[in-house]
Order: sequence, then C-alpha cells, then structure tokens
Amino acid sequence: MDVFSDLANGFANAFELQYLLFAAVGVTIGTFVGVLPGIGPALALALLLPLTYGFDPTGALIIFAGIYYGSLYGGAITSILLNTPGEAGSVATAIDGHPMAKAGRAGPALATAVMGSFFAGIISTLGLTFLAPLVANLAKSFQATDYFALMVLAFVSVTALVGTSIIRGMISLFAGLFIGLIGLDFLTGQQRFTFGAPELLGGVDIVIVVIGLFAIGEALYGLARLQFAKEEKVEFSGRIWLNKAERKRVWKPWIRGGFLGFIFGSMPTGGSEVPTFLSYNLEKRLSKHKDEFGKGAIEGIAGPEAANNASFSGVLVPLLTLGIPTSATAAIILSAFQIYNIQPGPQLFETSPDLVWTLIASLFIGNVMLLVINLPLVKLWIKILDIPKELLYTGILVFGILGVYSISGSLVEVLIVCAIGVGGFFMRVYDFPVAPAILGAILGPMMETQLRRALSISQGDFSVFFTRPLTVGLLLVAVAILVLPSLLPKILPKRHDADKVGAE
Amino acid sequence: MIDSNIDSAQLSRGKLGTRIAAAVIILGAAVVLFDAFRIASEGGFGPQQPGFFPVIVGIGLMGFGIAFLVRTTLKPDYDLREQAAEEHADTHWRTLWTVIVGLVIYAYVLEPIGYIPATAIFFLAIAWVGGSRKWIRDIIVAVLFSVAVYFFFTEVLGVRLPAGLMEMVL
Repeated sequence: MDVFSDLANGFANAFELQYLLFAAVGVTIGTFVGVLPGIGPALALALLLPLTYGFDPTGALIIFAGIYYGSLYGGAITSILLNTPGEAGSVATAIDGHPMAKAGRAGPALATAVMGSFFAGIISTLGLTFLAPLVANLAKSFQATDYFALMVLAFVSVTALVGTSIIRGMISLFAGLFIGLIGLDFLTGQQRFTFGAPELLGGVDIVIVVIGLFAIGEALYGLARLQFAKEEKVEFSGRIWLNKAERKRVWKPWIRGGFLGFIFGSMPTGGSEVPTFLSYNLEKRLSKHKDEFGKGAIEGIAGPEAANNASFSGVLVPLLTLGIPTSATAAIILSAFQIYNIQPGPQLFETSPDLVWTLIASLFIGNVMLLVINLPLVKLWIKILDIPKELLYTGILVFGILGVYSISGSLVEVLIVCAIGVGGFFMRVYDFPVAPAILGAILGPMMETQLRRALSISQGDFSVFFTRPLTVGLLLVAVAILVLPSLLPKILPKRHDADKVGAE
Repeated sequence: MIDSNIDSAQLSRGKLGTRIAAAVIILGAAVVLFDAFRIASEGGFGPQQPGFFPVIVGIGLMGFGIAFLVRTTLKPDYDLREQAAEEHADTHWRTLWTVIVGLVIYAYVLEPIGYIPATAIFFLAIAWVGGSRKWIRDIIVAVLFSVAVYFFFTEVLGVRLPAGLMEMVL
C-alpha cells in the first residue's frame, strides 16, 4: 500500500500556486452561490459548470471541489439565518440552527457548522484515501450483474429511505427513468421517446434535469410565494467563536457525524439526506440536553453538518471506483469528468492516478481554505442575503437558462428545462421527493446497459442474477430495505416536517 | 413555518389539486406506455432489445400513477391533502403562470433579438411580476447583469451566446 506516496504526489500537484488560487476562487464562488436561498451544492455545481470550460481537468476539478465545499457552507448560512435549506442535506441543520440564530447565537451556530464540516471533511477524506483504492481493486472483479444489483439497491434505498410515501417516490423514480431513456438506444440506434424531435436524439443531459428541478423549480416556487412571503431573516450579531461549554458539546457529534456521513455516503443511498437525519436523531438520543432539541441545541447542528460534508467524500467512493454517481452532486461531477473524456471506474486509479490523487488532495485543501477564508468573512457573506428576493429569483432563472443554453445552444433544450422546472414546482407542492427522479435519470441508462450486457453474456438466461453471491447479496439487501419500511419511519423523522422548511 | 389556518375551501382545493396531479401522471404514463409499445413493436420486447426497459418504465409509471390516484380518491392520504392545501394557499397562481409564459417567450426570442436585450427585458419583466416596483434600480441591474454575463461568457469562457440585434452595434 503506497497510498501515502500517492497522496503526497497529489499534494505536490495541488500545491502549485495556480491550483491553490483555483481552490480559493472555487470556495469563494461556491459560498457566494450557496448563500443564495434555495441553492444547494448540486445546483451550484450545475450552474457553474460552464466556468470550468477554460481549465485543464485538474484545475477544473479543484475548482469544483472548492465550489462544493463553499456552497455547502453557504447553504448552512441560509439554513441557519433564513430557515431556507437549499438542499435536503441541510434540512436537519435548519431544525436547530434557525432557533439558535433567533436566540442571538447565529455566530456559534455557523462556527459549529463550518468547523464541524472541516473536521468531518478531514475524517471522510482520509476515509476516501484509504477506502477508494481498496474498492477500486475489488471492483475490477465486478461483473455486469453486480453493477445491475448495485443500481437496484441504489434505487430502492433512495425511494424507500427518503420521503414519506413509497408511491410518490416510485412515481418520481420512474419519471426519472423515463427521462434517462430519451434518445438513441445505445445498442441498436433505435430512437426512443424522441417524439420526432431531432434535438432529443442525444438524450436529456443530467445537468438539464438538475437545473430544471432545482433552479427553475425553485425560482418558480419562490416567485409564486413572494406575494405571501413573510421575511424570517434573523439579524446577525455577537460573537462567532465557540465558548468552552459549546466546544465540549460539539466535538463528539462532529466525529460521529463525520463517520456516519462517510459510511452512508459511500453506500448507494443517494447522498446526504439519510446520514444527516440519522445523525440528527442519534445526537438527540445521546444528548444530555434532549429538551433543547428543536429549540436550538448545538449538537443538532454539529452532527448533521458534519455528516453532510462527510457524505460528499463518501459519495466519491462509488463515483471514482465504480463510475456510479449516487447523488445529484456526484452526477454533475461525473458530467464534468465526461467533458474531459475521463471515465471514472475501476481503471481510473491506474489510468489517471495524478488526477485522482490531486483531486483527493484538493479536498483537504478545500476544507482548509473554507475554514481560513470563509469563517472570518461571515459578516460579508450575510450581506448577500440583503439582495431583494424578486431580483434573486429572477437571477436564478436567468442563470439556469444560461447554464442550459451554454451546454446545448438549442431552443428545444431550453424549453425542456422549463418543462422540468414546472414539474419540479408541482413535485414540491404535492410532496414528491426529487432525489429518486434525479437518480433514475442518472442511473437508469447505466442499469439498462448492465442488464443487457449481463443477459447477452448469459445468452438471455436470467439465472445469472441468482447464481453470483455478490449479486444475490446486493439484491437481498435491496429487498430488505423495501420490506422494512414499517421499521424505518421510526428511525427517520417524517419528511413532512422537513418539507415545511423547504427541502430540496 | 406555514401556520396559516386552513379552511374547508382551501382543503377542497388541495384535494382537487392532488387529483389533477394524479390525472396528469396517468395521462403522462399513458403516453409513455403507448410510445414504449411502439418502440417494442419496432425493436422487440425481449430483455436484450430496446423495447424492454421502456415497457417496464411505462408499466411502472402507470401502476404507481393509479396507486396515487387511489390515494387521492378512494383511500385518501389526509396528510398530503392538508399539505397540498397549505401549499395552494401560499401560491400566487397568476405569478406562476405569468413567469412560465415569460420563460417560454424568453426562450423563443433569445436567438432572434440576442442575449443582451432579451435577458435585460426578461429580467425587468420577471422582477416586476415578482413584485418589484423600483424601476430605475431594476433597469440598471438588468442591463449591467446581462451585459456582464454576455461578455464574461463569450470573451472569457468562450461560450457562444446569440448576439442578435447587437451584431449591428458590435
């Protein structure tokens, strides 16, 4: 195991002056975008994807890592001060963060979030450093049926673990699968669901799905409610740093959240939502201050924020080693990879070790940058919250359309993104979870490929799915997740509460 | 966060809304299923053929769409109905439809009149629909914003944006 020398090489690359600059720029832009209400990491990356066109792959990925961490932090600011979490992963943060801010403790709440993210980020990036090469080695023996079973598992867990209703989750998932099928069939070249439009032959880019569901949907939602909106912003004042009593309460949740986030992030469960809520409930159960939860318990921020950050490095494990993106954020990063013709998978660590290790090193650097640059500047960042909401949502619409136009340059795709946005609006109104749709659109085509590959190797014999132990094991786990939903609501809080504070 | 009292009129609007949603899903599922069968009849139903997955997706959408319809009619999901009612009460529908129409017009005029004028006008219009009445501020923001985006994307990032009417000026 020469992980250390690989990582050292990565650091040597990432420590070039220009890359450090890129990391700083990424973190700053990411925070700026993330602090806009309703914008979370996945959308920040989707909107800023064009920014990376001008860079080499390493530089682009470093900027991306920076944007990710920055937007995560920006999301924490809006969750705590405005009670408008930009993405499912920050919903848990808002539950106690907003009451803390109302009680005049916004500073410590933010510091807990940032420092917790930092420590958890270090834990999980270390986890990634050691786990990823192992998984990559293991993945070399993976066969099509294993990939297929993994994706079934991802679909089942994101639908069953997230959201209140399996029916609505399934509709969302199948809608996503449908979007994923649009375009030319990869084996036969037959047109599927193109409805005669030549622009649809190439399929619908996942970036368009993300921009539609998050940016357009969110802006429509925000604009339609402006007439009735009550301003809930809390003024920021007082100290930022934690006092001794607070420090004593947060460090264990940070560590626990970091491990939970990494472990659940690296499993195909759709990213940050599951670990953040598990962490929130775990801290509530373990805390000596149970009565404070919901009213401003600092542990309620420390755990979920740590888990939120840590889940990102976790998600990178299946992304880098198997080429399977298990969250919207990971899918956007995969799109960025594909712009540079890099295909993540078991071979990535051998074909492009420099790139991988520089990326991992830049995750460490991004974490440090975040702490150094952003925490002291918090009073500057919250000025962004003063932007009038009408202009803000209009700006999000314009950027969303711009993002789509710069990828495709076609009117049809702009209309598609609007349609997806309208769909996203109604999904919010009727409480359909968004995560299954996104995962369906991302993984659907991969799943079909693996299924057909497996069957063509076995010459149409379905028994291949029941003879390989790994495949059977994964499928059994998927079945278990599906038939245990009566048990799971007791572990996860009802999504109903989460949606009221504006999930997704 | 939403603590408005829901009256029975709002509740029935929530009920109607969920039923319309169910109908739209089933309608969409029917279109998908229809096209899936067309694909399958051309390319084959077999598991290795292009029709297999589309048919599964169509059946899945239809099945769960019908299940959702049942949850809004015969076996109502009251939590959902209540939430839908709250969401309906907080939504200013005219704004929503106006913005959607605005988006479609924006998409269509982007090429012919060019990025800068189209975006500036769109920005101004949507801000007005959203409730902003500070014309001077909005005009300044709209023009600066669209000009800055245009030049940053075309000059720095090398992304082509439609010049349109500006072609004569530039």
